[in-house]
Amino acid sequence: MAEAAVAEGGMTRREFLYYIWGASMALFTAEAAGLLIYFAIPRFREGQFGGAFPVPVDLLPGVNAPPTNFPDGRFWLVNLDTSSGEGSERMSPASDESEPIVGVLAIYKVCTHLGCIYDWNGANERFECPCHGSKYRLDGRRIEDPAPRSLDRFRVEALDANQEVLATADTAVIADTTTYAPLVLPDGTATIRVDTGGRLDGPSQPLLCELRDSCP
Amino acid sequence: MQTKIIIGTIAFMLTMIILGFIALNEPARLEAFSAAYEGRSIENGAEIFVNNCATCHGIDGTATQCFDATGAETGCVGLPLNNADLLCGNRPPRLDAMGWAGTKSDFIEGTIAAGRPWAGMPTWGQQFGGPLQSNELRDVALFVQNWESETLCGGEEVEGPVWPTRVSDLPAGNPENGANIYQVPLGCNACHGLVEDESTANGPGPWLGALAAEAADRKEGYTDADYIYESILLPNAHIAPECLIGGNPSDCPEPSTMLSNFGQRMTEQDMADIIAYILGVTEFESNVDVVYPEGSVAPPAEE
Amino acid sequence: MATFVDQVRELGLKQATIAKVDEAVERLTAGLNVNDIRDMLRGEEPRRPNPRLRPHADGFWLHIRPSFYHTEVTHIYPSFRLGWLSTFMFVWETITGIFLMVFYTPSPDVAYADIWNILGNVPLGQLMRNLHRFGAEVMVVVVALHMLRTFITGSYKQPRQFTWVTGMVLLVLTLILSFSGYLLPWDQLAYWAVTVAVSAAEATPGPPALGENINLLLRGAPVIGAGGLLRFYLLHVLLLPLLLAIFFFVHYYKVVIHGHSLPPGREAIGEDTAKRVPRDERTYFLPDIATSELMWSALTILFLVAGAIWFYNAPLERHANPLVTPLHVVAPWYLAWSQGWLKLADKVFIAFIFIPGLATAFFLMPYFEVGKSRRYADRRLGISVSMLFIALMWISNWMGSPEYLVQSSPDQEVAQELLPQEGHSALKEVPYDFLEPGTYTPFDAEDAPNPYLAAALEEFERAMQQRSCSLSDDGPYEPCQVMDQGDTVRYGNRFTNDAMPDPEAQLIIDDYQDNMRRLTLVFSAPDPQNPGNELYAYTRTGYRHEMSNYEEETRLLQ
Repeated sequence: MAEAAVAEGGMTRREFLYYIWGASMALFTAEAAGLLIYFAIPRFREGQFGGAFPVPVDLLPGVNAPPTNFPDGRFWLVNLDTSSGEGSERMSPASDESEPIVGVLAIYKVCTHLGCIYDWNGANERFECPCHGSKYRLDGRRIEDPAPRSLDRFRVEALDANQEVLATADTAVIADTTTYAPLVLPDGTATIRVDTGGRLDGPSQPLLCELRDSCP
Repeated sequence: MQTKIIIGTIAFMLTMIILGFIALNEPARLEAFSAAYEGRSIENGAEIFVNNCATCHGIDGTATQCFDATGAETGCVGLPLNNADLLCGNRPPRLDAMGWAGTKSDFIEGTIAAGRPWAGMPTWGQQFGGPLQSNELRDVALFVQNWESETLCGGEEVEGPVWPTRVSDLPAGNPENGANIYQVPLGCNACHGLVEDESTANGPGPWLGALAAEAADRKEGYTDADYIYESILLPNAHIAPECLIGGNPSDCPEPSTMLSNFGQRMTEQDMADIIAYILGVTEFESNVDVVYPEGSVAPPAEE
Repeated sequence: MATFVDQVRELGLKQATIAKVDEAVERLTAGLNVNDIRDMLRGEEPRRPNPRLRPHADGFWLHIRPSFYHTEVTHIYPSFRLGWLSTFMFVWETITGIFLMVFYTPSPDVAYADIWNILGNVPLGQLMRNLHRFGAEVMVVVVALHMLRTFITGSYKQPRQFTWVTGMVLLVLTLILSFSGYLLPWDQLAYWAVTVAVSAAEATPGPPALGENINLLLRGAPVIGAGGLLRFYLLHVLLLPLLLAIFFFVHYYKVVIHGHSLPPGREAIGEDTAKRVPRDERTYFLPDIATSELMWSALTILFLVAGAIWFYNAPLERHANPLVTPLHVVAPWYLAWSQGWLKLADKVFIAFIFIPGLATAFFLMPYFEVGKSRRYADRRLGISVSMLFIALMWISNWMGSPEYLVQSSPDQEVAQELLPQEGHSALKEVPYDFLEPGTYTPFDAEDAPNPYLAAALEEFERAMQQRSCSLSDDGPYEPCQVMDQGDTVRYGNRFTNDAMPDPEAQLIIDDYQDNMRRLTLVFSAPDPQNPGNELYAYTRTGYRHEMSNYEEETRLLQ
């Protein structure tokens, strides 16, 4: 049943057609695989951890005030401004921070050491982790060991009253880590949307206690 | 044989193209289906509400017009649900008034599920022994929240009734008519019992039969008519520390569970008749101003 | 065996790599090297000894497939490839089913919400669900056709009797698989269809304890609840597929061992055509049958995908409510015949004598239908009987369907047609924006503000015509046939014995909430014998939300 006589090594029509079919099968399989992944990756609704959490702007804490807790979203919201004088016991610039830190941050509630949920200690004006003693400043910068890096951050967006996006947090490279910079809220912000599906590691800045020479 | 190869190839390519089109349309379709789920849940909630809740809360949820099973008009004993106080925004004023730290929809769904036995609302949730499944509770809660709208919550102040600041400025009251409207349509007897019969007053409101004698002493500087006038228009203005419910010395709840929309449901003549009925007089004396806030009953919540 | 490094030294890198690949391919395919595969693709004759037999002899994946078929069975006739298609459908259902399992939990609290999640939050979720459900219905049809074909070609005769028996087991398993899956969405349709069907179990003859316990075993509780759902889920997902796979392998093994039966003219009973296929009548699996199967796979996939998108839509009614049975509960169509029979005779007789008797007869049929010839001309009786049986099944199916259902009163029936508790209706085809608030009578179709509403009002009139009559000659309905039955008087028309005399009917559409309209049907018919009394007075209210989107579904009518 040989098709058109072709020299050994040349392709017959049938063989060619099989290859085309094979290619179409490969493409089909690739498409099916892609679509199945699209199918199987979980999607999160608003308000589910992994999805977006809208926060009305009136729930934002004051400038350099203690953080507001959002347990469902697993984040703290902080409102930072190192250039103002308020709240300096909680948030003052360190010696290696020349630029003022201004804006809103959504900080992940999980300690970067081994995954415990740390808490805000009002008396000591800082975050403290009960498991192994990691301590962090109001903006999440690590104060004491054993935290390997500062606290992780979620992407934050500012929305106006019509749910239009006014501004999105930029990424910044701090201490060789790409993380989210604090977001300055533009005028007209009605809602802050925290995307718990978009998380970046906190920067591995030097320990604050080392700069202040107060490490235990 | 070659035909088979070609057919097979074409079939796979066609399938690929079809799947591609479908995948591209998916985000829009998903949104439509999510919306459809919510829409149908609200439809289901409407049915359940009309069959179970409208007798106390009114078909339109404002607790102004209620009918019993035979179709006769009866007093509305439920709180108004279709109002800005409960529905507008993420944190409507009602949540703070009730000391609720969770979300609005949890508050509504939880109240329906657990009921308020002390205030006359039945327990509806199956988990607590009531008749409704958890999906039905969710549907009703969605339905109630669906009354939230621009009209209800939009920054425009709704024109409310203007009540005279002095109860003495009300028209002369008719105690016989007061006795009638006390029951239908205002439904006062559901919480306070009949004025003539103390045994009918088992809560959640105090018996009013002795009020004629005591009203003048309740609040410093208020006459008896002033006090009753203020208690109806602004139920939370004063909670009597010696309040008795069902004849028992117990504190009346704070904030008051008394409906706060009587000011919108009654005419001046109605008010005069009710006060006349309770006090047994037709003309009233007044010492103080009672200021009913102008504009909407509850301030519109900010988004 | 030279190591790779030695080969490189000897032949150079390129040749050594080619040799290594060739060796790997030959190992993977259990006997075919790259040249052999290429020869297959070119349509060349195989070299001798034929390497294309080795994947069957030595390999795992092809060891159960025959290495060659008799050429006469490789065309569409006589098998119509239905056995192959049945197997394909089983694999298809397994795969689509597993993907659906990723998003489904078998608990009454969340099952229904999970289905809506699949439809509304999982990309391609609706497609996957439709593929699975459409595939299930296709599988039932294909399996039944396969059985019919096997009967007609007499392929169940010696030595293939036991193959038929295992095939019957597979049929029963397929039906139970379909039925157990039916419950999983936990909507009103699923819940009540399954309740009705399973209620037969309670009627098991014998001591009451037996029936009760069988009921408990199946349902996990006196009524179907969390236990029932979990049991049905485990049946559907584990036990039945496992049993089906086991019986399938027995069935297929026997098909291969005896060889696929040839058309009746060519193979007499007892003739062993499997082991003695002349060389010139062989079609080898590799590459010809494999190509064929691949093509049929591609076509079937295309059919299933196109079908699931354009002419099939899996229904989803409201959440299951164990306390409320909607009107017009129906069994799934492939079981409607049993409902039809149940209307004719006693539940115990049908469920425990008639159906088991019939099933036993089917199972054992090859052992008593021992006619000596497979030829069609010699089997006229058998073929006629089978055609008669199919006609009977069609009729029984129709009898178990909604048209033949128990009817309640005429006003409720009209209401059920326009504002059903569950399912499609003419009003649902009217998009929200075209449901103009107003009051409409059945005769307002011409004055309707838009064509959608006009169509719905025409349906309203049609439904009223079927169930109303006019007492005078110039009324809008059929003249009443008055039936005096002593102490009651009944009114009928051409269609029914139970009609409303001179009824007033209205459809009122008004706004209930900002984005939800209320549809109210009001019926009233005064009693002609007793003016002042209402013979019929009925109101039914339905609600329509702006976003509910029924029009999409009703496009693919079920």
